[in-house]
Amino acid sequence: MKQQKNTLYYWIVSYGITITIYSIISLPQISILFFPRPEILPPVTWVFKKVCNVLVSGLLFRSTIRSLERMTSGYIIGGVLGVSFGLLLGWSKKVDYMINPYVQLIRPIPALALIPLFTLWFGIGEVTKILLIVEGVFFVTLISTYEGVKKVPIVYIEAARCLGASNHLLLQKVVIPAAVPYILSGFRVALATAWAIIVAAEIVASKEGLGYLIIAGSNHVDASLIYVGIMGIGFLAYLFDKVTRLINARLTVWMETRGEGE
Amino acid sequence: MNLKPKIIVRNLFMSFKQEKEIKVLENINFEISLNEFVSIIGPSGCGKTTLLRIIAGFLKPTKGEVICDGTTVKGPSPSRVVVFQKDAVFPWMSVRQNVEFGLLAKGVSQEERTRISNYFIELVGLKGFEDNLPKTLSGGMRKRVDLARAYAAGPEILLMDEPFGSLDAQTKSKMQEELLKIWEREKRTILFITHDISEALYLSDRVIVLTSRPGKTKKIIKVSLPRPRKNELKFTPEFAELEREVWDLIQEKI
Repeated sequence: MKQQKNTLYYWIVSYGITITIYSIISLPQISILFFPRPEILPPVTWVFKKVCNVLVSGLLFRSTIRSLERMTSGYIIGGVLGVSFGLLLGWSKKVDYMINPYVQLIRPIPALALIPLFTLWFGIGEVTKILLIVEGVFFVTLISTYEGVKKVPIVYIEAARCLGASNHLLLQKVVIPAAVPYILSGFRVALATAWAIIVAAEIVASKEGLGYLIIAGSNHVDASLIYVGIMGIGFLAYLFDKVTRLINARLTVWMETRGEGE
Repeated sequence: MNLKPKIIVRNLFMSFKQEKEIKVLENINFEISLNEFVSIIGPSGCGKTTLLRIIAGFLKPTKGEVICDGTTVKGPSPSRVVVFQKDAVFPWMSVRQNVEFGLLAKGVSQEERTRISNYFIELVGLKGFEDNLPKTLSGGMRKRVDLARAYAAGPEILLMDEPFGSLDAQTKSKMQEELLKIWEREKRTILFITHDISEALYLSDRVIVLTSRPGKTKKIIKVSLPRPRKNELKFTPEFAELEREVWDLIQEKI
């Protein structure tokens, strides 16, 4: 408890310093020295007003919901597919030989490079945005699951085999649990990938969403709105990471760890 | 008394092909009777573990065969369970789930699984630790879990590949005593691989001494020390003499 109080104290000091410095340089009298318009480096009061504005008008809420919808559906679909294919490729040599060449070929292409193609194929609607996230998450989780399956210690597999385990039982009770730490770390990496993709996708073509707020702010020379978008994404990303970490801790209690990692 | 041997190893040859052929085992022949405790000992790299892996069914011999209960070994089977040197207890399962794994594989009902696992968990002295995760147990306790798991799967043959090799000296001799106690109560045919002469003699009815690579059966020594055996046996002159005999055998070239 004492420890926690201390951390809070440092937080307040740290944020306080940052906000103070920002408040000073964003004073219109000062910022005019660097920027032609005060909207480019808006004072804290303006930002606060903007936040209240978008909160009251419901724009922030709608945008957040929109981004969340895209994010979760893409993340879940991509994750389920990625883990399934990762298990399949890691488990069966034949499937590995057949599908791996495609994986190696497509995986290194940044999802952002696919935006134009996906837009041509699927239009500028939801499908394109979700598919882009699916693509990004799919490959990250596939690779980590594959690695996890390949790295299951042989001794566990042999022990299970001589105890009479069928393929099904081996997969369910030995291979998957042993691969869980890898799979979960894949999901955490995929989270960052998915956020990067969703912002880019919303910037390219969208009428709502946190990424859209950012691009709208840029178009109207309104940095306050950009701040709102950035903070919204930061907050959601933080929340998602927190949740994944909680799930992670739950599913890996059996591991002998060297303490909590960040 | 069942006179038909439980395990027959006949004219067994094993070589691995890498850049050139490496002969690992050469013309191994021996038989093990029902509920006999036999150790295989030999200098490191003599192919002891390879021999056990062939008997377990993980490896196919280059020539010759292993016959268990009248049928040639073709692959792993729960009638021949291996206890490995490495820690093979599943860390994501509780003690009970580990012990019940072989029963789960057989499709035994939950009720029956609980009954059997209770019995073997108690037999290895882990009563009260049923719900513990392996990470909360010491190395010796994990070996007990491994033993209970092997026994619970219902094998007639237990193949042990230096199971106590990674334990400290004190825990090791405690586990040896414990293993004998368990075996006296639940007789099985045990083939035990070790490089520790005293361990082999203390545990076994017979000790098979292999030569260095390629491993050949050098001598089979009958250990007629009375049972049940206590740890103190290791400090008697008879035991020391046997130890000396095996030591000389292993030292000799060829």
